Order: sequence, then C-alpha cells, then structure tokens
Amino acid sequence: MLTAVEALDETVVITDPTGIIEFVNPAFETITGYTRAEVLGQSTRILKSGQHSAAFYQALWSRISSGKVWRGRMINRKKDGTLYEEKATISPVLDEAGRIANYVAVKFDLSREIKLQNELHHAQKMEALGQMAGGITHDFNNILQIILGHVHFVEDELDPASQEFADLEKIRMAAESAAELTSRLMAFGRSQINSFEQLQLNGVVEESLGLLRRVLRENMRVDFVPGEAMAEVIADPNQLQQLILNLALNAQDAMPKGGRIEVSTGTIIAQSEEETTTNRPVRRAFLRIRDEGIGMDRVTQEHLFDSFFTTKRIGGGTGLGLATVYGIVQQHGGTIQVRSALGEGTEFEIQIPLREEELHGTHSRGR
Amino acid sequence: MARILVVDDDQQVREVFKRTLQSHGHQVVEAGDGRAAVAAYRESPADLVVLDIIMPEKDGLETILDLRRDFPDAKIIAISGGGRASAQGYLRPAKILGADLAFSKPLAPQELLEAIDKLLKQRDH
Repeated sequence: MLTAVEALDETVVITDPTGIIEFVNPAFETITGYTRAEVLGQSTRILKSGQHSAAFYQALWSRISSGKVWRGRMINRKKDGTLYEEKATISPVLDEAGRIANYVAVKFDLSREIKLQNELHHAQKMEALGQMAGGITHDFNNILQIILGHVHFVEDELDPASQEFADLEKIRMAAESAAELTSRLMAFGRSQINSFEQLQLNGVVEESLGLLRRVLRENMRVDFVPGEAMAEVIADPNQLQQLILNLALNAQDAMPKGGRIEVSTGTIIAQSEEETTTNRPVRRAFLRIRDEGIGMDRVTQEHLFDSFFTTKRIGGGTGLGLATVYGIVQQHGGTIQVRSALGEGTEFEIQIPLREEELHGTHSRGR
Repeated sequence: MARILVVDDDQQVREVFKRTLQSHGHQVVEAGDGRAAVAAYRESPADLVVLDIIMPEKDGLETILDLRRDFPDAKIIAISGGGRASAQGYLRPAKILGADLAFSKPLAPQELLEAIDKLLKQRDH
C-alpha cells in the first residue's frame, strides 16, 4: 500500500486531527518543493496561498471534522512562493472508537491542464483574430479604393496650384500609406506553408540586416553577433525576415532618441517539456533581439502577443506586429520569450528546432 | 472606346470604377457578383471585364473559369482587396486561371486605365 502511494503522481498528505503533517509522498515533494523532513510536524497552513477567504477554510474544516469527505479545487503555495492550483479530495480516517484519527488528502496538480487550456484559448483567439483581420483587410481596401477614386474625381476638377488640390493630395497620400500598411500586415500574417527550407539562421539574419538598415531611422545602430555558423534550421526565410523586421521596428519605437539594437544567434539546450518526454536534452537555435529602450511593465508583457494590443498612440501602431511574430514562431514549432523591465530595455528570444533535432522526429511543426 | 463589364459586390467601388472609365469615354455595364457577370457577358459579350475576386454567390476565380470556358478570348482584369490571404495570394491563382492582368486594391485610376488600354491594343492587333 505504502509503495503504491509512494509511486503515485498525485500528492498524498496525511495529517493528524489538528492538521499537523504526518506523511507526504514523493509527488508532494516534487510539486511543492518541500522535502519530507521540512514539512513533517508542520501545519498544512504552510501551503496556504492567501488566495482563499477564511470562510473557505472554515467550510472545509467544518465538513471534514464532521466526518464527511471534502472535494474541490484549491490554490496553494510552493516553497519558492509560486502558486499552483490543485484538485483535492480530503477524507477523514476514523479509529476503532469512531473518532477522527487522521485526514488523508489526495491532490492532483492542475497546472499543466490549466496551461494547456490557456494555450488552447490563445490559439483559438489568434485563429479568430486572423480571420477577422483578413475580413477587415478586404473591406478596408475597398474603402480605400472608394476614397482614392473620389479624391481623383475632385482633383480632376481643381487647379493643381490651388490649396484645395494640395489638401486633397494629403488625403490621397494618407490613403495610400494606409493601403501600404494593410498589404504589409497581410504579408506578415499569411502562412507560406510551402516555403519552408533548410537554411542557416545566420544567413537569414545577414540578409535582413541590409533591409533593416534601410528601414530604420538614421539614429539607430544594428549590431549582429552571430553564433555557430552551422546552426541549420528548417524555416521560411521570408517569414523569419518579417519577424526580425517587426521586432526591430518595435525596438526602434522603444528608443525614440535613437540607440542600439543587438541581434544575436546561437544554439542553446532548451529548457522545455520535450526534454522530459524524449529523455535527452534538446538543442535549439535561438535568435535574440535586444534594445536599450524604455522597457515594459508586467501588464504590457502579459498582453504582448494579443492582436490589436498596442501601447502606441493612435496612428503609431496597429497592435498586429507582435501577434504576427507569435504566429510565425508557432509555425516554426518554436517558442518566444520576452525579458524586459521598465527603463532597462527589452530582449526577445525566439527558439526554433535545429534541423538535426527535427530529423530525430522529436518535434512536429504546429500549423 | 470600349464596352467594359465592371464586376464588384461593393456598389461604391463599382461606382468609382464606372466614373473613372466613363470619364475616358468607355461604356460601362455593371454586375454585383460572378453569377450576374457571367449572365451579362453571355447576353452581350463586353470588350473587357474588370473583376473583383472575393464576392458572394460566385467569386471571381470561378467567374474567370466560367468565362474562359465559353469565351477563350475574353479580356479579364482581376482586382482583389485580399482577405484571409493577401491580395497577391488571390491574384496569383487569378492569373493562373486565366486573368490577363491582376491588381490589388486600392488601384490608382491611371493604373486601371493604362491596363485597359494595353489589353484593348492587344485585342486590336
């Protein structure tokens, strides 16, 4: 019996009638970060997260102390302070006299389920927004066609030297730049399923640098710190260039007075779930883009990859750039992380599978 | 001067193309979707078709196929505002299916007129 409990994935905690811990299984140690020695003799209160009201705990205790089983979800705190949610069943164990001798809690960590659910929601949201963006682009271009057509009709009637003509020219130029914007957005958003090829990441970055130096303001400096020359990935070079361009433009926006953008590449041992499922470390290619700009607070970082989320003033950005970046990373079976703090700049790190890893079949590319 | 069939599900877009073409002496016939366009063309073939791609009922790509099947010599200019794919994503198949020229919206009036002139000259030679 004890061996079975020791091997369970579920956390098992046995306490005395006052809630003092008498036994925990290895799963408890893994999930909470506490060793058995640290918690034996302690009250279960050490796990309290502060996320539930006093009434919640009172109801729980009143139920189990009356001999009934409590089932529910609760948020607890690990040794390192992070919170986790678990599904728990807490049962009283009675002695021969019918008194409560112990409580046994069997708990299942829901973190992975919740993470998967959030990822699914995010993917569904991105798909819906992608469809919406496509529809908007089509209607938007029709509207621009109507605006530009009528500008032309009125211009035809006017003296090209008049103020009215000059004003209309401004409308025409604004409408044309809006058209340019939608075409860029659609280029970023579209999936180019057939253009994945084997390539060296450094080569793609080098090709992008020329474009960046033309597109970025003169007070911006771009430095490239290349990693291992032979880091080969299976990727769509156009999409990677779009990704680099989007992140560099964001970096530029974060440095209105100018500054330096550092693009670096290399390989890294991935700290991912794959490592545990394949039982061997997974090496991935990374691409980092770092700026010395204003940085971001936590709220901004949380919403960073949402479509239409933007911190820029009206006309400053559409909020589709990073959502597009996210989409591109997903298509490459990669991950993206951001490291940033207010006043300390921002670094985006994209990791994508190396070609050699793809050959091992450890990764399937998401679409 | 030519008789041109303008096909677009957006009435205001049709209006813009119509005025542009009329101001250069062309005669314009309108259709609001692909089905109406094919019917109008069968009834009285136009010299040239200006065709939107994303439309209800019958989209522009289907319309190109239908027109090409019955009228191999029809002159067709495809114009797309994009959608789930970019405008280019629709225009490439439009050309493969048989459009003579393809443009993305918004299209400058001058560009449309030049394209029409070019195709009409080809027809006349």
